[in-house]
Amino acid sequence: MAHDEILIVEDDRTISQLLQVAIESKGYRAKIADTTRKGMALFRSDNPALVLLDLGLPDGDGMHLLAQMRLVGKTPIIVVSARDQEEQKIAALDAGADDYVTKPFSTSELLARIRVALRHQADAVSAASAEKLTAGGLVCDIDSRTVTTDGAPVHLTPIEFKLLVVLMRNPGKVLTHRFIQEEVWGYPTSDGYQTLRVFMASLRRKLGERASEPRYVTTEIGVGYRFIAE
Amino acid sequence: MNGSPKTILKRAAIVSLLFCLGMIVAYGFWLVGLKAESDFMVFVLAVTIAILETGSGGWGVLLGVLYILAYDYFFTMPYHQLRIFNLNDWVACAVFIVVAVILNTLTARLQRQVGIAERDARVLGRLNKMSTGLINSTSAEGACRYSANELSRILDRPVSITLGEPAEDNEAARACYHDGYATGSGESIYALERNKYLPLNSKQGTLGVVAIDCVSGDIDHASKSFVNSVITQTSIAVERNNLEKESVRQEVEMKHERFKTTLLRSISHDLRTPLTGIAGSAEYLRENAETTDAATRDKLLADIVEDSEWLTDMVNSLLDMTRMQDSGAPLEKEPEVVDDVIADAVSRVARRSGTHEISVHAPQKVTLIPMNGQLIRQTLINLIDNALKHTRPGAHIDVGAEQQGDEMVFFVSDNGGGIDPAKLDRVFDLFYTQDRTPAGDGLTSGRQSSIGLGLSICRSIVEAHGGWIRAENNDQGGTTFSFGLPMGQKPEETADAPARKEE
Repeated sequence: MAHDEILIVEDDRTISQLLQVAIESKGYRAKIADTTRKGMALFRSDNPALVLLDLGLPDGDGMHLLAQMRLVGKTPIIVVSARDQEEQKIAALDAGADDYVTKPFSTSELLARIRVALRHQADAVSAASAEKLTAGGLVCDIDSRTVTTDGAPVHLTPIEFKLLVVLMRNPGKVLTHRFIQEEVWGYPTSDGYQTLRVFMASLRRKLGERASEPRYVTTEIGVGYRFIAE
Repeated sequence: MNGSPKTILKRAAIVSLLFCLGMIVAYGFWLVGLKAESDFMVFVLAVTIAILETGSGGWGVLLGVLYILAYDYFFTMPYHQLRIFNLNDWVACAVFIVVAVILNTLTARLQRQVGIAERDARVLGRLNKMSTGLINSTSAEGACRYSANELSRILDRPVSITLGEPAEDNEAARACYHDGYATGSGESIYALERNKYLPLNSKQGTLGVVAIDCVSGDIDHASKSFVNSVITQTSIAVERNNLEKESVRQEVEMKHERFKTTLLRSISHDLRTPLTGIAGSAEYLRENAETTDAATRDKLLADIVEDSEWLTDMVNSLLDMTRMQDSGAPLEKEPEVVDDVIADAVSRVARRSGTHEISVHAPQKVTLIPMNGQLIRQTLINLIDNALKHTRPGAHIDVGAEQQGDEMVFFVSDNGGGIDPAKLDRVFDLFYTQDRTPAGDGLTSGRQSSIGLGLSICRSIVEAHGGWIRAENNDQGGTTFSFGLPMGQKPEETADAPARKEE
């Protein structure tokens, strides 16, 4: 695996060049594909460390490419979408994308996302099997079902505990309501994820989260939640 | 001699009574020896009364015949036989019968005229009532429905009126619509149809077709002129309603057009300024790459970034605006946790908050409110941005929400100077740009001008949620923007129930 190669699938030359310059300035290598076909070819041949995928490609559906890439492996994929493609964005996250940025975005914001995705890629692999999850001051012991923040115990209900585990096992990744619902409850809901939202709100209050400066979980209104512990 | 059994019985009773009375009087006259002429005067009187009471149905004539037979039988020689020997009696009987018939005929004519006059008055009344109804109609369809109902009530048969081209399969109605002539039952074309089709004609051509069910026979001649005048009035009403609708549509279109023009003018002006800045700075940097010192370069680059960020905001606002303006459909709402929406909004503006301090005050209970989360988040972002733009660095901004009765009231409050009270009402108006910068504090960096989209979008969003929004100056020497959203159904239960259930 090329651990420093980032594949940019983007048909707008100005943007792809800008991205290339920005990415290379941080010491990564960048490859550009301007069609889904080239994108898939480069993905297979180079096995990049991360993919930046524009959903609006000329020769086909970015969603389709995303699904194909997910069949091959767990390479982090950051989706680039326009502001009026809200539903496509959620569909992409449901289909396995790790994160999204909305055009127009600042390069510094994008680079931060890339850094987070690459770091958590490593975390997530170890978290998947770990007995004890840690992030910042938060420690979650799966065996003993105990949670502490900065050493102080937090009393969680069984569902809150499950929620926290799902979040901590997918650090940095935007988790859609649907994904969390299925991971925690195991079945779809018809209440507009109302119950999920309430449990999430109470979990965050118990973790001592403050809306102005969240430490662990951020909300993406209309999309889902993201575990952010640095 | 027609009518209901009851009226026949009543008329027979009157005739019998008059016959008996006449015979009694005639007997009296006979006893005192009066002549036949007196008897006949009495009979004429009785027949006149009978005709007045029973009408022209022939009862009067019948009474006359009965009198003659009875008189002949009882009072003329030879008695108790239907034979008359006296010439005087013959003449009396003959004249009497002629008088009875003439009286009957005259009454019949009079009654017919009274009938016609009454019906004319009734028709006139109905037409009057109909034209009032049609004048009050507010739509072409409404006018047609009204006329169809009235016609069907008065003609006592199903009547329907359709506007525009009739259905493909109805050839008779289509012929009526296209040629503007009556077709169907009782007319020269499509005479075998069940319905009669009459066109709603106007100057602009045929507007629609009136279908009258004629399975029980054609409408009678007298009703025809009534039907015709109803159709004329209906056509006028339809035409008037169409014209009114058209003028309303044109007015809306004109307003929309004017809105677009104003918007375009403001936008092109507002876009040109930052674009000039970006192009100018970039060009300068390219041409003077070697000679520009680091400080100047940084300053120019910072300007480019700032201008492009401003442009981005502007384009996003425009997108929100068109989204709100286009969607005539109701908003897609989902229950969102109030804390989440506020947290997301604050985290999105946090990186441009600079030296401003933002504190968040979430409601005490976890509360779900039905809303379009992204739009309400945008409302909060716009309000916070507005506070950031219009207050001095270091100013404090409070963002939060609290339940007040059956509403959740969100607020964005600052202590950065406030707004001229006279202008408070207008801050939400489209294209209204504020001038809130306190004078003389040297705060001129950044672009204060904007086309006033942000707050106007906030208002559109909140109002689309069935809520309210207002701006007021507060005790902290700043402005508080607040908006209320309806809580929806049983918010407390939905918020508390899951937690309790589980524990």
